[in-house]
Amino acid sequence: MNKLVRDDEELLIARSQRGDVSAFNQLVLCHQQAVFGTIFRMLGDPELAADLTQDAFISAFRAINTFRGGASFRSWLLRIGSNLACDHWRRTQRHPAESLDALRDEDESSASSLLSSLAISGPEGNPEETLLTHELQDLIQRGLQLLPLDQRVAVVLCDMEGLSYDEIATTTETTLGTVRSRIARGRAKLRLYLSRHQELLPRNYRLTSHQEPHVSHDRGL
Amino acid sequence: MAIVMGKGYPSHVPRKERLFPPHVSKHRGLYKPYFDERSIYVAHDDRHLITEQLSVALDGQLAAAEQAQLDAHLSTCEQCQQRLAALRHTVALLRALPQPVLPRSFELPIPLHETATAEVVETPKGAATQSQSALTTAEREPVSITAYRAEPATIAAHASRRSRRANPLRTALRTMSALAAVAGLFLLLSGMFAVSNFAVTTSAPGMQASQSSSALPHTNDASTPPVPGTPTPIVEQRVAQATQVANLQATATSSAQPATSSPPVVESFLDLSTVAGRVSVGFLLLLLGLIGIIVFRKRRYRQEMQL
Repeated sequence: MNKLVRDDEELLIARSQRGDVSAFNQLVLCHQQAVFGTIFRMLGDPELAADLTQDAFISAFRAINTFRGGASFRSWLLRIGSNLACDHWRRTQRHPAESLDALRDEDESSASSLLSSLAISGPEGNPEETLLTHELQDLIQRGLQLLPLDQRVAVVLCDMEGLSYDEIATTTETTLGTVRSRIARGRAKLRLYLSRHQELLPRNYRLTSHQEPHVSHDRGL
Repeated sequence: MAIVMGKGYPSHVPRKERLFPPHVSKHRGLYKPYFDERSIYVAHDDRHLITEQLSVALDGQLAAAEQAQLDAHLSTCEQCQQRLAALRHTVALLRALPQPVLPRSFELPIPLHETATAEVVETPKGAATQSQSALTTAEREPVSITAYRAEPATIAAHASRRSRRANPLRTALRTMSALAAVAGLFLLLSGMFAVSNFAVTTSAPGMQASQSSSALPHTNDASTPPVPGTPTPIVEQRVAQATQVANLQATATSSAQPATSSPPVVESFLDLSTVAGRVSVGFLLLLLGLIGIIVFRKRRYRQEMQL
């Protein structure tokens, strides 16, 4: 994703505020991966995520005059996108199929050992093997969708989109402390979930912890 | 490693962070948010780390003092090391997820741009000048976007909806003219009905035979004699003038015309108790109402054409 220089972005925003769509489209090109990625990870449905992303950009263009220069434009866009996704989720899915709270009280002791057994290779793994298998991606995606909405947004923004805690606080309009606890709880629940469904995971996946794969998976998602 | 539970905590441990015996289920429920996992106080200073600390530490967002405390604890506590490793592994899994491939580009189509600018131009004058002044300041110095405040921004944002919506004043005027037209039609019809009715009833008995069988103005004339306190020759004159005025109205001139003629004519012309007055007032109202409807409808169409 090519990052625009801050000044360029401000210039483009100013032009968009005057109704210049081509300027706004440059901003769209710059941020669409983050917005789409966030919405997709929250909902798990690529077509729905595409529709919502388009809606998010349209409403962002309509409301671009309300954007204050001080805040991060990416946070502002992601707020619009995640709010749309949250609204949709609340509308369609009142009852999650599976409750993570049931997991909390049991399997505590086995969780960490199981998961550490999953982590066969350490942080310095093989770059060729950074791609996760499709099953694992599905599993993580399902686990994400079991999280409560606020924790899901926080985890997705933090661990998938790589926003800082400050940016997440701006995006979700909460305090830094709330962001911290939401991320921590979301991660803990995911950890439990993954360790629970460890038998679904392929045995020989490798992982490097701090490197994002640049090549997308063959099936795309 | 004596596990302290419930009472007996050192005073510096916050009350809400004290762990209660496991069999007290309501307390476990109550304090669950603070204890994601086995964050049990072990001894005086040496307590296990809560998940939030571990999680924040993974992101390197802990304060220096907290980080030092965490490191000190981790160096001695194998349990917390395992938890941290597991958490780190989870986070690494999340981060290793590939970015989803964009199904398409989400750029906005250009026609939207044209309509949007047209709508912005269509804003009410005050809002337009306000936002334009804000725009020109931003144009002069593009860095100070903070010059944009909510007022012109929201006005411009809602400009499209507002221009689509009809002006309330115009709507009210249109409604009033429609009402006037209906009332005028009603009056006109009632007057006509009374006239025809009267003509039928008066022609049948043969009363005032000289005038009853003639045209409408003359039947109007026949209805006027019952009005008290008016000498008959004057009434004849008035009715003649009233019909004249009504003819003038029929040529679609303004309502100022009757005022130029003599005042008693206006008086009887607007007198609702007479049939002629009812008919003429009804006609006038109908005319005004129709004109109003046409005028305001025309204006609305013109605006839509401009859009």
